[in-house]
Amino acid sequence: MIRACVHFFLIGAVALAAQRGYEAWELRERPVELTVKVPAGADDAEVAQLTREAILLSEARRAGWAQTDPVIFERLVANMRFVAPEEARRDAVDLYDEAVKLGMLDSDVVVRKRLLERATQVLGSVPDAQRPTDAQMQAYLDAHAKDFELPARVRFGQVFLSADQRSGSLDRDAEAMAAQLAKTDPAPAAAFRLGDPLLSRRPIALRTTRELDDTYGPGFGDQVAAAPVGRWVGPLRSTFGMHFVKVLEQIRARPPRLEEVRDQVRAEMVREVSRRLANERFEALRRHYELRVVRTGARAER
Amino acid sequence: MALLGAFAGCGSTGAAPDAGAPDGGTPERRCAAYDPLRQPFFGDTHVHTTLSLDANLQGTRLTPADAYRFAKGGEVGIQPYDARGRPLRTLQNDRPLDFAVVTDHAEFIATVSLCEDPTSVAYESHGCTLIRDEPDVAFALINANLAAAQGKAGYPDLCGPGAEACLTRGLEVWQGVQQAAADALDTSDACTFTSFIGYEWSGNPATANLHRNVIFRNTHVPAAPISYFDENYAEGLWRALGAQCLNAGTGCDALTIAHNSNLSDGLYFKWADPSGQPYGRSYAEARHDMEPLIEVYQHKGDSECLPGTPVSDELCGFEKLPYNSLGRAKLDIEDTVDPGAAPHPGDFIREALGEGMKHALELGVNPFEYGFIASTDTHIAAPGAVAEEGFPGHGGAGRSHRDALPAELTDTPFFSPGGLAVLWAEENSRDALFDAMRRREAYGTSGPRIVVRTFGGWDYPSSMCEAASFAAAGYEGGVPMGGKLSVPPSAGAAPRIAIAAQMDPGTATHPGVELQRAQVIKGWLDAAGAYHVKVYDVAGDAHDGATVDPKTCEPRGAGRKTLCTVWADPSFDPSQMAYYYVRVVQNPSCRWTTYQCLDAGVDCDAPDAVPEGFKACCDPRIERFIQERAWTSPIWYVP
Repeated sequence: MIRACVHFFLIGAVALAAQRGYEAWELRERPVELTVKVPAGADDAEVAQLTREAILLSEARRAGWAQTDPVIFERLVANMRFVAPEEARRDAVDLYDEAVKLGMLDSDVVVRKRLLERATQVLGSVPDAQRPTDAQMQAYLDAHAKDFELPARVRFGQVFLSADQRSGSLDRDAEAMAAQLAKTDPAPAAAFRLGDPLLSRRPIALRTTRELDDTYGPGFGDQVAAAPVGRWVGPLRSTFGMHFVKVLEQIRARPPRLEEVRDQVRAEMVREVSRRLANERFEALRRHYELRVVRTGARAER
Repeated sequence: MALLGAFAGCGSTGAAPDAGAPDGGTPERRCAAYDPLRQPFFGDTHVHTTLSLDANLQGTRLTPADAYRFAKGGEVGIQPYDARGRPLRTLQNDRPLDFAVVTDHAEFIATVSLCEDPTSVAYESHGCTLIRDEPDVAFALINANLAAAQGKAGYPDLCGPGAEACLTRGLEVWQGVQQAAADALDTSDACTFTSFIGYEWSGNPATANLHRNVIFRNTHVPAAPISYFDENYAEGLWRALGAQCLNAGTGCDALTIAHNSNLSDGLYFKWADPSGQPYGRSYAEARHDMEPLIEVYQHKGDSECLPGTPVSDELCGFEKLPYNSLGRAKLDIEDTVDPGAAPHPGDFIREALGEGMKHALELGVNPFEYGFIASTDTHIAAPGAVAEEGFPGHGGAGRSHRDALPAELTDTPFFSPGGLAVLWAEENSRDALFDAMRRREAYGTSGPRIVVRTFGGWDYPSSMCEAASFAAAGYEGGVPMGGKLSVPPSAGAAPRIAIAAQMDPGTATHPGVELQRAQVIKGWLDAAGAYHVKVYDVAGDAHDGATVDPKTCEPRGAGRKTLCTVWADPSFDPSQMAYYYVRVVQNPSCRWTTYQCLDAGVDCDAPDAVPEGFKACCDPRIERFIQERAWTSPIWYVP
């Protein structure tokens, strides 16, 4: 557990650094000259991608991550222990320094990818000030009401006639029940006693159309949803037999209140903000670079 | 602040950000559809995604978030993928699930992430290179870490010294698992879907399956999953869960679910500690308290009972694998099966229930007082994909079709689509469902959404089935499935088991199959401590004459839409420990292989013309028709 905690701490530190990293970038002097090497036959998309990577690597190195990132540290130490196993017992910091002297910060593909990963994280990091407020989340919810809509639901009482138990007399029994219900209009909470027992979810609670289909068979939900409120109707057919229902409450599909879907709304908004910030920040960075694209004979190392 | 928050989580919890309620538990509310008499919720507690190494190596790219989206009724693309990364198959359940748990293998949860991330220190390790370039070889080599002798299993070399790389990355991946569960949870009062945070502890000595799924009640979870590499024995897992979760004072709560005892080569219920000494009371208590449920059935076969052990029971032949561990399996049909690989009777739950009662006599605690569920164990991130028709194969130990569309049966012929877990709970919320798991008010189905309810008591009237509220009478006069009968009220009293079942109504395109019968399986220890089992047909008709059209798979003949009865034990002895569980079976229907054999035009009368990849269609060991079913958790009687 202690080991897990140390790593947890480390991850937190890197994450915090990532959040602050973009502020540091913005303080730097501009413009910066940068040469981007691309393969001779690279198309526009490839050039754009390599340019993006070159800028991000430049920023990552200027932010000093090559000297402070624990993954890079471990990578370079491992490199040295691999190339010089006889020195494996040397102090890790010494080995790291030795790797830097050998130019591995620039040449090692894993270091490059790690720096790109962190730079990408920084580009998309969402500062606390830009995390959505309740008002913003409400506005977002209003604008995307359909995506978060709560389904229509219905509460009803019913009298059930079992096809199993009344196989020979089901239609006749249904006719008699229709007449009885029309005449007596029993209270739904007690009326189920007039028919046969049912095992499924009790209908007196609110149910969605989908739940009614799952419980009683396809199409049953739509039949109940179409029933008028306040009077006995039927028989409605289900997989199990015939049902007379009295709808007590129809709740139309509605957009949820924010407190009902706050987490989902927040997650969606943070994703969108992150994407937007990443694009804006990269364009801002790009304007501060004087780029020179050089086409080479070979494909660039990615 | 973020850093302080992260560090504060160490040693106790790892609550995911934006996870919902301030206390990390289910928000304090009642769902709109709350029923104090409880309702059945259908779900899948065993789901692997791209984070599981075996699934990943088989081309599964779907994430935990994708798996939850699928569980909620969404369509997903599955392997194989074309060169531009577009899936060549799609999949969608005809009905959404009520709940699901993503349970990726904890052991390699970081491996996939490390080996796919060029910035990771392990990226260029031999193990990672193999995983990327030779996935089939890597599958065998890396799984060897799991198959090491118990007590000696450890992280793979690619994790580096002290497994630091994997432990570090594992924390990040675990955060992602938590976030996916948080994002999928419906916190509105509609309560349409519940997700749980979970993982699989994958003990696998010498390829004998000892796996357990670990499920957490809420967002208070340990900082990292406790894997088989951390704890080589189940008792170690339970101990660690106690220390890092249940007894940590953080609101953390967890349980484990056993599965695939059928593939444990005699180990799952073996009663000996690592030194060979019989387990004692503390082990029995830990297993009883921490592991309330077992999967009676899933993709890799049925674990209920082996035919003839200990009694003749024709329905025990359902979905039996003809081997006792995956290491000894012949995963494709062969002409012969290694006799040494034959299933062990003791690896099946029915035998274990008897052994559990014997341990209870000696120790005062029944370590195998299991409730039952079923699930899929999908390795293509498709929770609840249980339809026989159109079964795409669940991967894992089965076929996955990473590289090409299937031109054969879509899975290993002995495997199946798996089943569903059903929980009787007041509402579809984490707390309510978790409580149902813990009290074992649960049952499993082999896929269909059969509703079945059982109660055990002493005074249920025979007219209970006509009662307006079967459930109200059931709770008032006794205990539900998973419960323990009270003391007999009089000398001549006998347990009465009230059973009500309802067929799966199906959907517009796949109508449900009617029920054939319900059975009570009673097990007991006699005065000499010998174990007996008897199977009673208690409702419906075993000879209802229903069949299946072998050319179209259309059902022929009628069964029952509902079943209900109150059964009284005719040979009850109040001095003898006993259990009662219920099996509800449908009329026959086509097995998944039969659908595919028909589609392929297989004619077993012309064996030379049977297409390659479909030979199993004509293998007599592969059933053409099955009787799908539900198994309820036992009701116990302890003198």
